[in-house]
Amino acid sequence: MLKTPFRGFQAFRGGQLALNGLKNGVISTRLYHSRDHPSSNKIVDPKSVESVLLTKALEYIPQYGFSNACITQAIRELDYPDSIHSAISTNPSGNSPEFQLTLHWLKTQRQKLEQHILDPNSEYHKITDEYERVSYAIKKRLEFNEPVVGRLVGGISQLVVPYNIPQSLEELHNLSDDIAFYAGDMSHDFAWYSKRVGFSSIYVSSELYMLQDSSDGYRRTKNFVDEKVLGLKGLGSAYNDIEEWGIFNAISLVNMIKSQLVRG
Amino acid sequence: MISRQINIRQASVCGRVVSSYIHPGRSIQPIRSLHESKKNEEDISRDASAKKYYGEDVEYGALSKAQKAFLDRVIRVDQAGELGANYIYMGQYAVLASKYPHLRPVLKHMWEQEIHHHNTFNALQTNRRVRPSLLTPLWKVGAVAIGAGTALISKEAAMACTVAVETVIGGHYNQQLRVLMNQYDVPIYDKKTGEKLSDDEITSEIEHSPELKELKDQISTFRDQELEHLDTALKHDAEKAVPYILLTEGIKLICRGAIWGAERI
Amino acid sequence: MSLRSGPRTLARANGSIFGTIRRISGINAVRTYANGTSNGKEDTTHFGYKTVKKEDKEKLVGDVFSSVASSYDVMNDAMSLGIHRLWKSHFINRLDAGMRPGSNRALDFLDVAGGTGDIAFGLLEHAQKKYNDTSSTMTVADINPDMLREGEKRYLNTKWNDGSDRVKFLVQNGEIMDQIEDNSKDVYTIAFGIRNFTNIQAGLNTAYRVLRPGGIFACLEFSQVENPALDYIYQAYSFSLLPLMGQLIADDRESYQYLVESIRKFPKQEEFKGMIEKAGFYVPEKGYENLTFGVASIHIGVKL
Repeated sequence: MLKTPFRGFQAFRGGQLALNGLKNGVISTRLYHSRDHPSSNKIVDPKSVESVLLTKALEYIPQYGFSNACITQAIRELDYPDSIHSAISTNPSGNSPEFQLTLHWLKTQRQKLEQHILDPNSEYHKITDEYERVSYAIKKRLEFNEPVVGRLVGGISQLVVPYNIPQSLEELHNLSDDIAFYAGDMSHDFAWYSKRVGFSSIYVSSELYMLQDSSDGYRRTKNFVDEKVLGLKGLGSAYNDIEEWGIFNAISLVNMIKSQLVRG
Repeated sequence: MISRQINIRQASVCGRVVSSYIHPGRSIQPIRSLHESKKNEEDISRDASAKKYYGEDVEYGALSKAQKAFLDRVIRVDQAGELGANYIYMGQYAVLASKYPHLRPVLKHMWEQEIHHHNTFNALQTNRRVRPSLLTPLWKVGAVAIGAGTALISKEAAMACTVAVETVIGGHYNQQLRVLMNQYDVPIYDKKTGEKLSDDEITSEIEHSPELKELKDQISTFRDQELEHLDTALKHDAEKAVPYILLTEGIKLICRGAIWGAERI
Repeated sequence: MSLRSGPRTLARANGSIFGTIRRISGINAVRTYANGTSNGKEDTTHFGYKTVKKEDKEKLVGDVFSSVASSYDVMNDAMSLGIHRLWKSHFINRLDAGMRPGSNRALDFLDVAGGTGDIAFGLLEHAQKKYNDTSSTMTVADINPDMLREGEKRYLNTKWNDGSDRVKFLVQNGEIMDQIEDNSKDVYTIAFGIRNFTNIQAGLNTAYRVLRPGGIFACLEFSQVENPALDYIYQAYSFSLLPLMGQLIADDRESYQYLVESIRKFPKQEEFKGMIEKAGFYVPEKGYENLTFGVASIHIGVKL
């Protein structure tokens, strides 16, 4: 088999996959959330074969990292034949098994966060301020990272590979959309976008911070998150204030002009 | 002069009466027609034999990706549209209210209805987690400019602008209603046994989930109100505006472009 | 199916030598895939764009492949400009088949319609290189003895010819496979072969039969290009250039005309995915992976 052209072909395939990701929409692939058709809102399909295998494989991540070995161990433990490994590696989405594992990790953690927030007994419901809820949600999600923190670098490196970026951005956007929605975001215009972009960047930077945080109980990461969210809140109110100031000045200008015209 | 033909068709839809006017200048067709009332009679005879299912007894299957994508677009574009209508009336009111006090109640009434429409879609956008249009600031500025601009030309021009906008919106809502009525069949399951309901057992009451029914009802009510605005504007000498065809066709074009943009961006 | 491209390809097909023969003999060039229902009289099926009796198709296909057997690889290289090697390489890499270290049971591979053996040897090579798997067995099945002979000739020169019984060559009809038992294979691969089956569904059902639970069905086949602009270019290329190349390189225009037409008749991606599901396989979303914009695609099924 010719090796060098194959590498070139792989790069070309990567470009094709990225194009596919872009076609599906980098701006938003999260669609309508139905109330009366709850099965439309599933994050992870619990019954499909790949899902069962990958969920089992997640348990081995602390040991083997985000790699194929986790999937092999999962197959052994579930007592399936080795050939079923091909069901994951030939997944028609075109993703490598490691990236599929990483995506599955992200999806299951997001689902866990959603379940935690929707649980009527959780402390989430005691917090009333929107931005405090956001920091609580981000901190909780980072807590779920704790078992695999040592291996997370491998996972993140999968996420930033150029032809995986559309899909990892989609997951990130879904996470910040979830956090914003459950915090009670009611914005209808451009603020919708800026808030979500803000939450995404806070999440990514805190996750990276957490990778090298050695403090007790990740105290410093939690302070980092609080600081950043407060900063975002300040930005938001600064914007509102400027807008108010602008409108006031526009109205007074119009009134002044009108008064000058009356004078003749 | 365009002679108006008023043709009132009445159809009964679950007890409500929907009337529609046919005007040669527009191509707005009534959605519910005699076909619907025939269907109700069929339901009654069917129900006698099959098990009667009510809303609480059934569970609805998942919406397909295409159906969700369409609903996503519908809410986004309708929100942007009502935002535009809201700001257009705001612009018109700001210019015309002081000069023409007799128009104030008319404009105010139409504006308030648009505000109500806008708020409805805002709530839908939040509750269904739909992404609002990215170009919202553009729609805001553009709408105020069109509203204030046409009002500055003359009050007839402002009415002509209303005619154009409401025509496009009426047709647009009709199109959405058509799709919502015809392409939203999902499998329906008995809540207790988990079995899929057969076609006989699906009555018109349960065929669509409350969520979809509400949306359809809201859109059709809003469409009726928009058509009322259209008639009001025509009554207030919209056709006397001097560059009537130019104004209306130009604004219709802009509206259609905005609809296209808001659906996608 | 190919109704979308009907008029254009009809014009092109009629312009070729084949087309002239067809027009003279009065056979209609374009028929939709119908198992005898359109004629009503006999059981007929398609052979490229011709309609033939079902019993005859097997022989006609056999004739095509017997005549191309010796120059098969050269022709593939010329027709696909070498891309077929990349496709097959990608197919083998994605399949990633092999007994993992620490496992106690070797896998059984089955490569169907793989006469010349390139996929078969590729799979074994991959398994050995990546997982040090030297015990998985490989069965190469092909309905055409000439293609199989070609494969056996090549096998003699490879390192797999080491005295162990790992590689077997069988002449088998893919729709029946009487010498292969139920639930006896782990990986079933078929590359560019399934479009030649008379009854594709039967082939899929047989694949289901011979696989063990947990086994993988993987099919690499030509498919429809989804983008209409690219599709036009692709059709122009395949219908004008390929039979011409066949004439020039292998002196066999008709066989290559058949090959090109059989590509057009093959079901579209979604349809084929439905057929795989009908055979009983579980198909992971979305069911197929398009290569080179849909010129070829890899379809996967898992027997649960």
